[in-house]
Amino acid sequence: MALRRYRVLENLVAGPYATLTVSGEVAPSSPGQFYMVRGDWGADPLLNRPLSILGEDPARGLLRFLVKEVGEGTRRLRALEAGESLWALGPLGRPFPDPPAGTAALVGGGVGVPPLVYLARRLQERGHHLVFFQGARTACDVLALEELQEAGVAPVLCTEDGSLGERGLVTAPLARRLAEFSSVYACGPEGMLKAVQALCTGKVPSYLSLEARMGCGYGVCLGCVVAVERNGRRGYERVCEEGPVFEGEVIRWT
Amino acid sequence: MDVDLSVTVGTVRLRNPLLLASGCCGYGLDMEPYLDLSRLGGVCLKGLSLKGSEGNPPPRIWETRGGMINAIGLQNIGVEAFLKEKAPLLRKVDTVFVANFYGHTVEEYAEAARLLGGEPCLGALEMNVSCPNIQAGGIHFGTDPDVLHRVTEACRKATPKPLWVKLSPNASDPVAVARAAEAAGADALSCTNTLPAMAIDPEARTFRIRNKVGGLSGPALKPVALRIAYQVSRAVKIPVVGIGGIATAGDALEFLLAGASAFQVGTALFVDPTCPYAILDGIEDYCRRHGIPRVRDLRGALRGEEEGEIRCSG
Repeated sequence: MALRRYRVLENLVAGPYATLTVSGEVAPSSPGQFYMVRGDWGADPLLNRPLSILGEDPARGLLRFLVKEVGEGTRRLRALEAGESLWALGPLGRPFPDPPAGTAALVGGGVGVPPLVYLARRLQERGHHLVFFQGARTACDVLALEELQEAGVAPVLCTEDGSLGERGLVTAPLARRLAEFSSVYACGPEGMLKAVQALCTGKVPSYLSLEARMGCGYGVCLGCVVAVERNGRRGYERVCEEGPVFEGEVIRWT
Repeated sequence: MDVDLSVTVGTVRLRNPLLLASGCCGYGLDMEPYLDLSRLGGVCLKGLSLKGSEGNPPPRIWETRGGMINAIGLQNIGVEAFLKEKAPLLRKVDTVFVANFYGHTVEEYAEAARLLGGEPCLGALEMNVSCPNIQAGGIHFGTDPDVLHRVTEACRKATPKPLWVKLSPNASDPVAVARAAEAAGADALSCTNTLPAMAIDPEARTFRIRNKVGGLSGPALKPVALRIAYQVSRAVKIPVVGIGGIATAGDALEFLLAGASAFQVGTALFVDPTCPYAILDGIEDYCRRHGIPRVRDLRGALRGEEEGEIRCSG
């Protein structure tokens, strides 16, 4: 595996978000995995940015990412134009596990939505039942509706200001309907993940995909660790290598 | 023209002058999906301590302009677990492995050196002396010549393996600490480690890194590390291994010309784990263009050396 060059085919910008489609050599991945990504910008910003996979077509050499501008690296990624280069290393990390029989709840917020869109598509293809919950601050932050529609998924939408879907946090409808689900998959802001963990622990298996500042993305720098507890033993695990997907019960927020 | 890339660091013969730097390549095997380790000069393994360490709480890293700050806290599995679980796997790999190690007391250093000294897969040991000495009020082992002499001497007596000392850039007089390590029996000096650094989030009025202070690495560190490698290599007879912000063949050549016998690549691996290949190709190409048949002939081959001492700058 190596840092490979991809060509930007299309970059659809909407507010702080950009949906990047790039072409190049694509190794098949599984939902929940990510790439370490950079542009042709030399040594500053220095580090690659972890981006989860929104979708892919390895046979046609296509990869899709959804980026939100949060700093200098993502600002430049959002500004990429068709024809420019994007460098990416991946796919990396441990994907979402297959769900048990029954209905899976997928709960996404913000840039946590893309890997769940990828998961939803994969589960639909395999005939698994799922309900997709998406939370956002306001209607403008609701993401990937077209991709969800293509996958045949009608999401349950929540916005904090009530501008689209139910008013309030996405964990409210999840809590009301929790008994319907045999597994819960979540990716999004820490507050949302904490709430999902609290709702699910002891009731239904949950899988949380964590976000972290990463140095290398492939397990050697130990910069992205999260505190976990397994069999009564507490320690640090790497979000890039043991994660980004963890069983909800093991995460210990610091 | 064939270029001979092999070099020696004291008695240690390397296939080429490129080693992976400690803390940037795990216990070696972590790099195997990306690199054929047998194509490298060597691999400096993640710093080991007697009992191991779970490391610092996150956040542990922060990116700065042209660099990064880390406070991993020397997370490691410990010498014993390394010898039992990792070393047997490394014995099958044809490269020079260098075990980086540290302690909190002179005795801990010496005991780690003694235990690692019996492991056949290790070609050398590298002492990380950028750690606080808890017996001496937390002063770093690497900043005081007397303290460094004592700990190096203790390790020297504890192991027959070639002993490299990874100098701290924090010493006020790098030449004095380098000479102290040499006098105590070090076989080589790695110049240099990360530079203590800090970043603050003004909006939140908090430190970017939980540990407040971390080590600066990456291209931003290179000019400082290069100057130290140059000064030290002029002042000691034992070989110097250059390290600090090397990401390209040009960077590596600067260290070799400054007087290093070999060099280590660290933070650049985070960006591109296969960058060692490009660096080695670039060095070979340079040697061809300049008609240099052996890369070891580059060591210290600077022009303008006769022009006198380093004076005050700025």
